[in-house]
Amino acid sequence: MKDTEQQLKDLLEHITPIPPDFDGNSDLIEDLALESIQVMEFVMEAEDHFDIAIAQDKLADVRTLSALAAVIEDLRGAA
Amino acid sequence: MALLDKFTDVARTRDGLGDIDPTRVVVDRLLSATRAMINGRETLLAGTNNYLGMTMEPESIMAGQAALAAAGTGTTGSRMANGTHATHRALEAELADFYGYPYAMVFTTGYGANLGVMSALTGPGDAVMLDAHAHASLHDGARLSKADIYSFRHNDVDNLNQRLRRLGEQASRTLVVVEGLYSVTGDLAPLAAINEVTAAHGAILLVDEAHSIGVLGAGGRGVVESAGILDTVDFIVGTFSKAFGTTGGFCVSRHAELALFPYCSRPYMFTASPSPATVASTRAALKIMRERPEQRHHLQSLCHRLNAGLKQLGLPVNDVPTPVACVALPDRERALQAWKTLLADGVYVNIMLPPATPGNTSLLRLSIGAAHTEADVDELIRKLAGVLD
Repeated sequence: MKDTEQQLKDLLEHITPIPPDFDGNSDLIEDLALESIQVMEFVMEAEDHFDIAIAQDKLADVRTLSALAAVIEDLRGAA
Repeated sequence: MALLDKFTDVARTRDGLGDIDPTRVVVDRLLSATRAMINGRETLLAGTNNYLGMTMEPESIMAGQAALAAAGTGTTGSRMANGTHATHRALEAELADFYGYPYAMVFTTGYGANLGVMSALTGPGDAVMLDAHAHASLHDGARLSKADIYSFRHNDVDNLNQRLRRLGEQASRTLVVVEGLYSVTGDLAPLAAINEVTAAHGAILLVDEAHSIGVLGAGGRGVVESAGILDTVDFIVGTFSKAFGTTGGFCVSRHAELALFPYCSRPYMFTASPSPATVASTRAALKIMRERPEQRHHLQSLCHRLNAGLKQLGLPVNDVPTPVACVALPDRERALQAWKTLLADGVYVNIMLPPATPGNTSLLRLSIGAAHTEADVDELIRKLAGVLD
């Protein structure tokens, strides 16, 4: 899980600057002020990186890298 | 938090737009299809979607006036109840004939067409694969369908192919959704390649030609025609609120199942049908579109002039000149300032600010139509150069 979270953090750095205190439980929208289009771009980056398809409804309650990592692990486990 | 408290943030966003709010421009009086009085000044309209100048076309106006006198101001009902008149059916037959397809379906708005078609085509267990730059109405149509929603990178056919592959068996229950001409950036979809990849996965392709019908293609049938896929594309949606100069939306298809959509499309069932006057003006506009290709040819010439002018200013342009172009500004404040200066100088263009823009950029959107002259395009370029210095 840690590994997936770190990989997501690396991907996120390509989209927006990440403050030093940002961690897996930080809020992607409130703490990083990501706009909806940036979130979509980030999810597409993650899909291509992990070679998976993430339906939008699976992201409805995702606010943190940790939660997104859990969704990705779940999808990879189901594949 | 109380129900109405969320509007505090909305008000803050609105107030942040400053003394001249781009979302609240009022056209005081129209002078023509290309000029209007705004803020007490004659203004060149270079930010509408009046691609063929049809809003002021005398034949279209007279057809609407006659229908208004003969059939009244509205239908007072939906197409599935009392709202289908012979003129609605006639418009559908004329649209089907225009495309050479067996059936067409008319909606009250273009937004409603996208919601109505997408929610009829897909449901729970199906998938919708949207181009990342797809219009909000296409995203809303996907949400209404309750299908699984995915996006692929804008105009990236290889990425679409990869993403359809990842869906496995669900790919054959997937609706791929793209626009022919993208409304903000003015670029075209690589439709032939998208159509091929979509078909290879057993998926269905829906093309929104809102900004390209009447504008592109030898016969004005949009990018599907210029890309040579009229015979193989699955569904085409469009609007009458741009090149036709009226309001309304439509869907045409080579698939006979389109005739069954009225029975399973809630946005179609539960909306009052277009007024007889609107339908009459739309039919007149379609007739003009078919009979006067010179409008389209003149527009194409202006598109090349616009592209050349933008190039001379050192700005990036699309490979294929279209009536839509965008100019990226370094940030939101400079975009707002440029937009305000242009308006004060008698030129109306659109401004697009994040988060509603591709790449989170601040853009000026320019659009021209067949009613413009070469001098209008030159004026637009000259005044644009003034705000970019």
